[in-house]
Amino acid sequence: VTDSVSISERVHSPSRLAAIAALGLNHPRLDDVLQELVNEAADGLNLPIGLVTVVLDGAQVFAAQRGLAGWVAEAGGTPVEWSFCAHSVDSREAFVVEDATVHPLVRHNPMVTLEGVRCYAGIPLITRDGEVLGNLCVVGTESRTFSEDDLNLLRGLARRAMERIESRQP
Amino acid sequence: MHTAVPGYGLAPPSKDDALAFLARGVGADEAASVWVRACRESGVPVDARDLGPEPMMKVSEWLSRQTGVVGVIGSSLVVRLRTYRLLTANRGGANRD
Repeated sequence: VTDSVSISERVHSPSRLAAIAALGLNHPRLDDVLQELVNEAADGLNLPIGLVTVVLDGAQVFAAQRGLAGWVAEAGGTPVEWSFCAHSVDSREAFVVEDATVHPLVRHNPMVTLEGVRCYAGIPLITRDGEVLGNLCVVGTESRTFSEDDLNLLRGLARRAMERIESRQP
Repeated sequence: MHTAVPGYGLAPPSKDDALAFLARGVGADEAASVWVRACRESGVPVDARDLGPEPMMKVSEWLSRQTGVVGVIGSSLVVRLRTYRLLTANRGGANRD
């Protein structure tokens, strides 16, 4: 594990993992509502990739994705130590990276050094019981800044994503 | 012994890794019994000292179909193994079973 992510006890919390299991999120299925939300996120911030991620104990999986290709899309997720979203599970707050090549938490992450990720903004998906499941996020291949309006747009979409996730049958 | 994918530093999860993940999630005693059952149901030798990526995938897929935290841990193992397999294939197939 590199310094790309410091895996915290919060990521491995049995109560958090039980919440993920109860919602059936370790086996993501096609969901038109979540898909529309990641489309809105990517389009709204003019970035190529939008995701709803679920951070498991050793990997993240994509509950909805727009713009992924190659092995990442085929794998349906990544090891957790490469997950930018895992930082929000730890902090319970938004995680924003404007230039990944110089950000201390991700600059050595293979998604940056080998896969070309340069910017990221993610909002935690928090259940009514307070468990952080993952993030609604956007990813880009060029560095950029994120305004408060950008983050507010993502916060609104994340809120709608959680409403959807908690309202459907597992 | 399966080495890490160059540049990515990702090695496939081993039997010991899986047991450690399970023990952290459900406790050591239950982890051991779940592992034995997973191996038997997957047709994988229970007392093998270690398992390569293909038998590990069989066991992990069985785990991923279980309910609760065990299923989440199984899904994690599947993603890690799938990532390893895809990255290895992209690099010419070294280290495959």
